[in-house]
Amino acid sequence: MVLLWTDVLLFLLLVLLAIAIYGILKKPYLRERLQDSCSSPIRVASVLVLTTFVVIGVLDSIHFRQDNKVLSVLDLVLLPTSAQMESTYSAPFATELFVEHMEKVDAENIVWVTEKLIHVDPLPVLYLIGLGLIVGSILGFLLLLIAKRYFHNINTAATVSTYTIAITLVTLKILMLHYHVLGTDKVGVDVLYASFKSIRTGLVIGTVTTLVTLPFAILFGTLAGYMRGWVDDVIQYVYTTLSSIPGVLLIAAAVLTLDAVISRHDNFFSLMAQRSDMRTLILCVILGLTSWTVLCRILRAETLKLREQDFVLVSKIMGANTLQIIWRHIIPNLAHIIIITIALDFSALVLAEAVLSYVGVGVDPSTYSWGNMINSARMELGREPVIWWSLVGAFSLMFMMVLSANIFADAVRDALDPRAVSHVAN
Amino acid sequence: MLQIKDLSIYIKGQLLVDNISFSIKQGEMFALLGESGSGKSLTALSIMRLLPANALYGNKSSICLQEKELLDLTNRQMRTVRRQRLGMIFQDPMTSLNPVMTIGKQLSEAVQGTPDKEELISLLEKVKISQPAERLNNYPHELSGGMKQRVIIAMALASKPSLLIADEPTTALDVTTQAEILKLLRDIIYAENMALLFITHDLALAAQNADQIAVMQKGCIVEQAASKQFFKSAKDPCSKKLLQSLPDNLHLDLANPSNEQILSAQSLRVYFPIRSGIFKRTVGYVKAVDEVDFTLNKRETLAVVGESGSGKTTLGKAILGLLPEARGNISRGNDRLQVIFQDPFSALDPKLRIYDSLVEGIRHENDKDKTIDKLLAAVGLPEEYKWRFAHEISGGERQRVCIARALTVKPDIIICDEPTSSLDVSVQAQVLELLTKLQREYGLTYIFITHDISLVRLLAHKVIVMYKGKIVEAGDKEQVLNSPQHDYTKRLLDSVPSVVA
Repeated sequence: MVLLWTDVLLFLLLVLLAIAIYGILKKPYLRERLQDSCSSPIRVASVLVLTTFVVIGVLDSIHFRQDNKVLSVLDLVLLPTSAQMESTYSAPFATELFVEHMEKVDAENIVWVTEKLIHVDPLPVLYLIGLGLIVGSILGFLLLLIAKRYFHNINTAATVSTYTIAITLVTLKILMLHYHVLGTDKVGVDVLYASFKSIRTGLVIGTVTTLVTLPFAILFGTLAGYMRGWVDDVIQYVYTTLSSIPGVLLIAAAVLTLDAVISRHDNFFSLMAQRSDMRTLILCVILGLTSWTVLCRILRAETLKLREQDFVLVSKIMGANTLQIIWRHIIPNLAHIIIITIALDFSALVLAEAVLSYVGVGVDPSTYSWGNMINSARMELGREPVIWWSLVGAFSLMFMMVLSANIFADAVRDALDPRAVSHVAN
Repeated sequence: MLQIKDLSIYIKGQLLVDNISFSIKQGEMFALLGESGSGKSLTALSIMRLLPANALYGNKSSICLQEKELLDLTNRQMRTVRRQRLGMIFQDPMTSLNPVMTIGKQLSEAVQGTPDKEELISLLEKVKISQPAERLNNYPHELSGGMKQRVIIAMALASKPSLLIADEPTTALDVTTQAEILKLLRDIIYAENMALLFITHDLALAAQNADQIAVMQKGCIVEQAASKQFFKSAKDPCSKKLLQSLPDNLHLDLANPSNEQILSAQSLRVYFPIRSGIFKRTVGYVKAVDEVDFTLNKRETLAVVGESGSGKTTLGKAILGLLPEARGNISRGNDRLQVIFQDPFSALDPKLRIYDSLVEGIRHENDKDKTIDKLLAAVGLPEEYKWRFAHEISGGERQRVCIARALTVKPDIIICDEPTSSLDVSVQAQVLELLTKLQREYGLTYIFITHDISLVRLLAHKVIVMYKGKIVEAGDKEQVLNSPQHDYTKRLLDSVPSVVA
């Protein structure tokens, strides 16, 4: 077992999430609202897709050591793809390398040959898909059997989505045994495998950063808005100063400085993985420290509005102190804003990671991430013929994750905001 | 002039206005009376054809303005009708004017073509605004509420409409201003021979001003009559109930005050500093409450009357000890104070259930659930209401919850800040009855802040009248109401609409 820092934080977040969900399910009126707001087919689907992403991310966060290499459970699941490499680019479902390779026959003649791929076992694709359909349906059926024990109202949308997800995953797995479904990249790594591995990086950047942002934004935002006076002045000065420095500059400076620190103290890290993980964590913290100002400003404005409400005055007359009022009355009324911001930030952060990798201050180049994949796609798109599969792989998974996260956030907002009119199915 | 026949309006399949018919003659003031949600504003919008996009007219509906069927017109034709023949006045003068445009600009938008200055000035003169030439260059925030409403009336009159629709035109205004505005409207329609559709929830107001009255209830017109006749002999049970709910027709059993004094204030002052310059030096003071004295006995109700800005709410907050700026002497012993606010929407935390809102005050007791059930019963709400959210109950019920919440801390004195002014008449009557009942049962003392003199007559023992932060008159109810000494009190009493009068 190897425990990386981001693993710890990710599991901590999962525990928090589990507690929150338990808290919601325990209160019947909240559970009802959540079920109501999640009942439309598109929301059911997005919840299930998001869960799948989270499960993949979690599988990829359980690390262990094998032959001096750090592997995750996801690597085991994706064996043998995770252990095999071609020599360079190959197209999706190809049986030979994409690049022709020069071979000298004798002193004068040069022949261009294409090399066969090593790890491809070309069985008919349709046959494999058929097998995937059958095995996937069985898996979906089993999953639904288990789910029925815990939830009594599984609707058509849930059933259809479960089958779709199960069949897709199983089919992909079977295809991966025989082909490179999305081809391979420059160094010969299977692109689909790389895309799957990037899910964890996306999740970590999107959630751990938020974890860093929230305490600052909520504490400072509500205090500034509620207490006014010099507290407000100080907090406003701090965040105005912070937000007037260009974000990328601040991040680049911080990352490069800490990079130097890391390489000076190389002996801290016994494994490569630990080192690149530390760099991801640092990126999260710095992104968080530079981005809490936006949410803080919104929360301060909303608190200014809330503090004038009569119920706050009543609470004051009842003898509640500042922190009690903020905790009981202000923060619950800010919950929907916080959740929407988390969801929007989540996608923005995943995108920010791509931008920062481009500048060269993103995650470690050895870490699989959509940012790194898109970054390398820059050169690949400029070639003739175009190599499009890296971009498509990164883009489609990133798109699915961000979209389902946004739809899910809408559902939670509707459930938490009692003033929201009951949602008409969309 | 205007004839409405079998008008029905559906929104999302719900029948909100049900087959109503009425007609308005030239030079007539027609009052459409109803409580909130009765469909009266919807009717007004339907005449303008400004209903929300998801609304549908019924099959047989017909709205005829000067023999022209409005429902058959195209949108373009309707716009011309709106511009030339219809005028509308909305409830809130604060939001009906664009804050970044001068009065003159907004007024000239309402007039067809490019009007010259004289034309605009004559419009403002028509609505009796003093110094009209200077007002043209003013921005809305430089005018008082009543003046703004006059400007809006001037805008509505600019196109010389034949029908004027006024949707609660005076609800946001003070009583004295209200009387002036209504007199102005009446004078104008008689002088110009126009018709006025006057939408209101205030029976007394309709009684004093309108020629014809129609009472709406749940989308139907339940009774329609000439206003004099209506108040003498209403037939429909609904309108009878409305009439009985009027403060003038109510009778409440007041508690007998004891001689034990529990609250007194001597020379209470609240001066808000006006700061200016970079160093925020204090350059002057706004005297919100100035040298106020009063005493209050147990089980007594003290009514504080005044218009908005007179300092009555500030006085309440000063007594509660919420204002660090308050100076002077308040002796309130160990008595506990509580407050009930005007707007029950903002007084309850939307994220909390009723139970959680109530439990905040009884943190230290053992049997919280039992206490809450008892309190809910005391304010006449069913027990299961404690699991609801504030938005799941009606305005009157919400106000009852606020009263129950005030009772959780076992107060001796409750400050009621306009507790019924956002409620319908019939609900107001119930809440007032509840308040007096609780006074008798719990031996409560009330400070009742209001702008409505008719309520004072109903439930106060003592009255103080405030004007610009000062007490202009104080004393027993009978003394102040029957033989007012100060000019302002007289003016206030004169402007109160009354059915009896």
